[in-house]
Amino acid sequence: MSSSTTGQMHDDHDRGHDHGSDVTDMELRVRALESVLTAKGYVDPEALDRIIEAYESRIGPRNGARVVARAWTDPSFLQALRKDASSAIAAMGFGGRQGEHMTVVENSGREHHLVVCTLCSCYPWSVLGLPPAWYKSAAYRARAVREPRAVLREFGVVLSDEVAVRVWDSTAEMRYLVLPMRPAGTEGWSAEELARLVTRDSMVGTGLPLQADAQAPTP
Amino acid sequence: MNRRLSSADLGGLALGPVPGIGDETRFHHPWEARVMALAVAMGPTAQWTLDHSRSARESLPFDRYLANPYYRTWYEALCSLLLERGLVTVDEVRTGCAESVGPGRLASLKVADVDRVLATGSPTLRPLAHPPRFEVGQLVQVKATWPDGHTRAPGYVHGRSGRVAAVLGAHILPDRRSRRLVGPFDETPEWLYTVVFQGRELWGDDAEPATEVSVDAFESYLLSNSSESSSN
Repeated sequence: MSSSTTGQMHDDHDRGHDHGSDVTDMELRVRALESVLTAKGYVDPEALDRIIEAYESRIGPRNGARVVARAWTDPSFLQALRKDASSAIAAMGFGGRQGEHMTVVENSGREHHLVVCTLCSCYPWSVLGLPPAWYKSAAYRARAVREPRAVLREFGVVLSDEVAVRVWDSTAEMRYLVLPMRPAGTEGWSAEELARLVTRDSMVGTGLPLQADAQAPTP
Repeated sequence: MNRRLSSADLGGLALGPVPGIGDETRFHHPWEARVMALAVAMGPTAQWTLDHSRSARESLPFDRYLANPYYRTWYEALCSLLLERGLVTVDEVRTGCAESVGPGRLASLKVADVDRVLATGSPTLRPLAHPPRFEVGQLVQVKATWPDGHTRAPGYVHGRSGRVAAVLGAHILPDRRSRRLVGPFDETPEWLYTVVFQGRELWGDDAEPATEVSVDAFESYLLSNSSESSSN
């Protein structure tokens, strides 16, 4: 599909600007686009506000953390996740856009999972929200498949060669959620307490959950 | 090095350190949030599909694709799609002033429907009568033929052999759905497989120890590979 028309338009427009004006320039362009789409009746600005609000408040990594904590504490839920993660997650109310089809991959002492999308930025929005800047970066997309251990070290995750690294390139509509290992010393913790240990990065594979002493359970 | 399928085909490139680790800013500028919302809100108008959006984004020239802030690429692709469909003119995009009213046939996403639309998404799983051609455990090879248009088999697996680890059901084939520029779009499904490649098969001696990479590959991307020795 050709982007020559807009490409040309932007080239013409860019010529008179230096880099310092990019932000203002984009702010104006996007305002113009929203105005014309609104005037033509294609979009409703209130709906746009509602979409942004959803991804700023309701739809984020706390959803995924609840899935993980429940998997740690509820063996029948873990079985359901293994059998059909899409349905098990949707039943918790965390299905939907960019989480329609889900697979949960389980870390163990023998293997560590890492999720990437080399072709764009596919990410399980319904459980983790919008992807962070690094996930969308060219460097992460390029290198996670070729040198995942080097990439993990940049995130502070150092794995021994005894631990196999399994990288999941999200090339179709299946979205991957990493189930990290439950931290030691959390016996008897509730799912709610455990969810506080589950970081966003630990569910992408670029991090590990917080340790038990980082978040003592509330009495 | 493998050839690039498109500007978006980055897997395996030797690039520098991962930027932005620890940066939790969701939107760096207000316009980024508006672009995200505009792209999401245009979805239900059914003027194009996610595959068309991806195709438009990856059609940007490579230098521009790499240099653009993320949501600028979304903005440029959104403009391309709107122009191609004749929904706006270049002047309208530039000025923000509508020269004519819309075609009147677009049902815009209403605020009351946002939560439901986000909670439903657009599942791509479809029934398919014939059985999958490959089974779990089977050795397969990704075709090295160069596609004509949008596809989802990254260049770094072209010609490489791997093993089927899962059959994910039959899903709409993006290659076909993105071909037609106006609806009704071709939603023919095809069997989808998770194929696992050993690091050495992809990167040779450069591979890190004990690493493997999987991609989700449609049936038409794959050949059966009977030479069992080439995989490990």
